[in-house]
Amino acid sequence: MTSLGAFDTLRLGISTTTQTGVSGESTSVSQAWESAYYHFIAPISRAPIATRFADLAETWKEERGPSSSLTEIVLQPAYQRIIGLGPRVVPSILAEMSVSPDHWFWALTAITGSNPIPEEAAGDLTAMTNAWLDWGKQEGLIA
Amino acid sequence: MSRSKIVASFPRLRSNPFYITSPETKQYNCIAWAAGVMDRWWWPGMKPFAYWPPNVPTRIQLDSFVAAFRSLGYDICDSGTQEPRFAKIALFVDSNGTPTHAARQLPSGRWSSKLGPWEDIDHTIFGLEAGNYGIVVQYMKRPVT
Repeated sequence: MTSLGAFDTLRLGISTTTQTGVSGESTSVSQAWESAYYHFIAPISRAPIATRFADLAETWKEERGPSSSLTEIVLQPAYQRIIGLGPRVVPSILAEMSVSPDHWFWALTAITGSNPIPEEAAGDLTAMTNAWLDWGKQEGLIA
Repeated sequence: MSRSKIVASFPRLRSNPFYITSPETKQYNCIAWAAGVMDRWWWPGMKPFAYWPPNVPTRIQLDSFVAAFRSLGYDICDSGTQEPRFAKIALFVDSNGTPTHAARQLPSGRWSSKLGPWEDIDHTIFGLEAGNYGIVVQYMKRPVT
């Protein structure tokens, strides 16, 4: 199988070089072929879990926009897909939370069935994050 | 968030001046900000992932938000016109009538909003309407103590 490095070289060569005498139709066909080839050799379903989480998290942050509705925020498609990744994604979520706290609590509870957030911490991003990071350490999921 | 992304979400801000007045933070949202709180995310029916005042309805409908601000001493009023010795808030709903946003009036008569996980901005009501948050359907006020 062709390596990703070799493919990237090929892809960049085709995509970025202006080729004299190549029609627009030919360019379109080439780009469609490149896209299909790229998805064949590196589909998201075969990417490492941390990479898939990072991609989906980035999409989620775009999707939620300026919404204040936590209901709407956790129902965004990318957030639901992160939940769908299952227990394997929990260490990635906890690692992300430790450097950039965000509203991952719904996903963590949905995936693990746990809820370490004390009642008095409801809505407090810092306290909720700390509660989940402590939980992660107790479970041996993060250092 | 960049000004261009804010304007993309609220197109009227393109021709109505607005000012970014805080750093971006996910510690609080618009409802908390309108309530004068900066360390909690307020939203009904999401406990413990979000805060909601005790003994206030938790359905995501306008009455629940009105009740939440009543619990803070606000009462409904007819307009967002500035009144001496009163603090005002404005409640926004989308085209389905679902609450989306709250803004609070500044001493200048303009309004302040926290844009979800983005920044606070200083704006006019007209400038923020007809965008992601829909329109204002309820104003509330309470005496300034």
